[in-house]
Amino acid sequence: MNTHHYDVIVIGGGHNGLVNAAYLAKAGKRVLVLERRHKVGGATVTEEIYPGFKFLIASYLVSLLRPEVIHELDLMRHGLELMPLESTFSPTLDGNYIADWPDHDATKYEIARHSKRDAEAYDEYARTMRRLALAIRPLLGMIPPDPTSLAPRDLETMAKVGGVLDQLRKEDFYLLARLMTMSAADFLDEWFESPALKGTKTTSGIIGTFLGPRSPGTGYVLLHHYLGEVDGVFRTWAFARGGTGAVSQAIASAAREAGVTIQVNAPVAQVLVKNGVASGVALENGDEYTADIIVSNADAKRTFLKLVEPQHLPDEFLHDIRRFRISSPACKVNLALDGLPTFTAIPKGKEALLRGSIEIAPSVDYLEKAYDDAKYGGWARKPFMDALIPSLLDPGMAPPGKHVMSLFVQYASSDLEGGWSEPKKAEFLDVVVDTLAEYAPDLKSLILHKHIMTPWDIEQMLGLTAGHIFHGELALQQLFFLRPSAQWSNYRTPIRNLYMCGSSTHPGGCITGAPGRNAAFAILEDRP
Amino acid sequence: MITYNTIILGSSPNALTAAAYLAKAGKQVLVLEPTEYIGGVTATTEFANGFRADIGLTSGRLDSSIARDLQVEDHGLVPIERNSITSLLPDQQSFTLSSDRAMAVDAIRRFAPNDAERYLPFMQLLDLASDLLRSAYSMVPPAAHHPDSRELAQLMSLVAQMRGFGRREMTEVMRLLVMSARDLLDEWFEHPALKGLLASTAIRGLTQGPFSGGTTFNLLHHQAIGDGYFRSTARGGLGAISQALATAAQAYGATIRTSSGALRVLVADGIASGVRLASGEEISASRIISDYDARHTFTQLVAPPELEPEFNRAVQHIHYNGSVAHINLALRELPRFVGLDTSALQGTLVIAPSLAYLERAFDNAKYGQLSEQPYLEASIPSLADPSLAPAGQHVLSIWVQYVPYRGKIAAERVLEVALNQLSNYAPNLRGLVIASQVRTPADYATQFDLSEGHLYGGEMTLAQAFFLRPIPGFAQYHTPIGGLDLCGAATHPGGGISGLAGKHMWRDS
Repeated sequence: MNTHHYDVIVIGGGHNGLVNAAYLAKAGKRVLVLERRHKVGGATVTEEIYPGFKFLIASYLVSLLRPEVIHELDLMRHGLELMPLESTFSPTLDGNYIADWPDHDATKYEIARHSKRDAEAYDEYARTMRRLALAIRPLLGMIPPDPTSLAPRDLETMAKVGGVLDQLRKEDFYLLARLMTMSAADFLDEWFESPALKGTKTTSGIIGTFLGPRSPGTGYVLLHHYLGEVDGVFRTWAFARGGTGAVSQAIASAAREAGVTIQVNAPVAQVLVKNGVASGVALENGDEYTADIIVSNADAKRTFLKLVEPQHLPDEFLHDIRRFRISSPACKVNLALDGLPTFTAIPKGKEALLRGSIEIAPSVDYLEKAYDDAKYGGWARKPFMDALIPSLLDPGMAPPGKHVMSLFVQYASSDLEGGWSEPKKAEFLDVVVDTLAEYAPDLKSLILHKHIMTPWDIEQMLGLTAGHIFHGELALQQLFFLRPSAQWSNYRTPIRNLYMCGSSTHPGGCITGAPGRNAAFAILEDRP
Repeated sequence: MITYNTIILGSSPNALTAAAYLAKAGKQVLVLEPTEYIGGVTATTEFANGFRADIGLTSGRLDSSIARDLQVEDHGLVPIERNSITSLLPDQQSFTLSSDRAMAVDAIRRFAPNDAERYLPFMQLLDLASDLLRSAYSMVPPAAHHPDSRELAQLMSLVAQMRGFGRREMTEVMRLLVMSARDLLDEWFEHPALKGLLASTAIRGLTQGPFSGGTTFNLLHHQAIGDGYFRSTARGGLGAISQALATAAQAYGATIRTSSGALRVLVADGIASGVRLASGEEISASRIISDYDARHTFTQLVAPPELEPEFNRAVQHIHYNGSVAHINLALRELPRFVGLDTSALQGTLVIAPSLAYLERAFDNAKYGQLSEQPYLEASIPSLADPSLAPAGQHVLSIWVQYVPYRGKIAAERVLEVALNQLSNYAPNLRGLVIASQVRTPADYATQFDLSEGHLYGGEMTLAQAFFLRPIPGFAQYHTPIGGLDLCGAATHPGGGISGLAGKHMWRDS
């Protein structure tokens, strides 16, 4: 047999591609992963841009990685080490702050400083969100059904979905129906009164989403981020020792152990299709590999508008992929620091707050205005930031005594008027640093290096269309059986033997491994 | 004294429809309208000497089944169609879409050739989706959670209807229901002005911009009740619809009293027993039906202590955010709109030049401010119906969005902003104004007891529709209080004057 022939070729070594490869190899397939960059991970990477400083240039935290993926691939044995973030610190405009602590009473005390009523409501809120998340979690592991189909497989899954909704108590069913269709801000208004608490809680509704917190549709995104669990604890974010790149490394190691061949510096130029059937891939250097099954970890637009020639696809499907919304609101900024910044709002004795996530989200209006600035093709004059100092959790991330700070920043349009350029990047980078310095005045004096990944950079460097970290917006019309296209949401495509396993498919973005795992099961359904 | 077995509070087309059906069924029905006008906020009144205009809504049509059952045309209802919608644009760019789709395609071809061919399939898709809504609107909303066999059959009939569309169309319609108007129109069209015009109906009565999720549902709602791009009113003004319904109800034996506002619904051990009027008069009845919105009903008419805390919380969570102001102008003569002929003036005129324009108008509202460049919708009802103004003179009605309730914006400012905007297209407008009348959401709240001045009894969003309207678990017109029901726009199918809520309430009783 020609050594260039495999059972399965996975295009792209992102975390979902690696998960997909690992599951298929464990099922006995001969799998080859082709990664265009010099290392695997895709958007789940750690990069040493400046000597000694490890930057999280795209994804930065782990929360939604499915426990079943961790256990089934034995990722802990392969070196995955998750360190749950212990706190959330959100400074407010008046120099005050609000915080979450691991200790429940400490958290209630912090909230009560802003509103006694909110402190009381907080427990019920947490219980309710956990109940909803638990209830709908089974949907994450499902191969979405085609609601227009009467095939046994689809009817069976639809019955399962019905069962999930059926088991909800009445008030939870109504709450879910409303949460799915309302805005994150409106939902939180029903629970809390303190602007500071609402500001920081709302952020889960807008992360990676080009909508303001007051726009219906963000309620679902809020819930999406509550589906995260680390060791069974919901809504906990964890830092992976070595950065998110270590997550990919662990999955890659599990994949290799299962027999997967991983080839880096192997950019795929084209999926080879012969009379409607995918038969292999051609690399940019001309090399060709054949396989019975081709799986694309790339986003839907890149896969079907770049890697596949249009004549192989039905017009209807092409239309769906072209209209798939994928405009990104997010930039990633990394700072190399000479020491720890001093956030003036942090009182003596509470410096431990620097070890958690730092949210620049002082109020819902602040976030909404940031969206207003960006939504017509601009960027926020006062951006929302989800910050982290990884070097406090893992000293290996920076040279001794030095630190790295990772900033997830919204909003800055991927369709920036006039397009992104080096001067514009520098200009927005200053906006970000200036905004953060309002809360930590000594920040600027500590900066050794600063680095920004705009949506444009993320597209150039990692190949994500429009730099969209979720491979497509989590808009209601792009979820579940509509992601990325009705009738083609089950990881299969109009081209026989070509499959999708990236975040353009259900259940969408974040480091979940779910699309990769679900896609593997879909493939094994067809090719046991 | 006469004893009534049913008292209806309010006299909107929903209330009068309920009254007529109940009276027809032999019930002794008393309708109590707090204002002096039958129809309340849907009435048409004289606002200046010899000039008559609508108070709130400026268009709408009665559901055809109700019109038939109650023979409203025999009671004097003469519908008037507004068969065109015109986008006012600078530099003679204004264009008009006719309800005749072939003509509309020709009109579009003149300024957006690439979009012309897409208009028909676009409207056909909207038709499918609004047909589906119309079917849902023709039902007492079935419970979606653990439906009984009858409700399950109803839900299945909706699924069957969707399947009938064909596989592709079925999922296309599903997407439509949850999309933002921006996402929808970006998929279909290129020309900014065409997208702006087609998005305008998606934001009517809603404190959301076209970029917001779910705004396509608001468009479909208006299409479904026949109040979409191409609207309808009646000879004598919109109020004539309430008048005809009132005559029908009275013909069946219902009694209607105006200037008789109920202060309180009398409740004894959880059962409604009658009402107390502002005058102090008390009238007893075994059934009270409130045409008011849920918040007014359950905070003003009924004392919250009568209700469970959970229920009261749900009432507080209803979104109103009234942001529509209404202006009526008495005009010396017909204004000259640059580049428009009289036929266009007989239709609806909108200022909605682009999606971004509409979204920007909304941006201010989010922070409680009035936009200097609002969304405007104007009509000149006196063209099709000269009885509304003295000979040769005219009435111009303007619907202004967004005028957020919580902004407490002065009527004068709204008038100023609207005149500024319209004068760009009708330069001689200001000089023609004899008299004007402005109502802001605050006015609707104080004069008509509409919560936060919302004309639809609560925003038409997915989170407040179907089995969630007005309150999850209480979508079938009944309330936690025995003998007290709802029949207004606050209930399914929501805003507008179709009368369907009143009919469903009657059918469910």
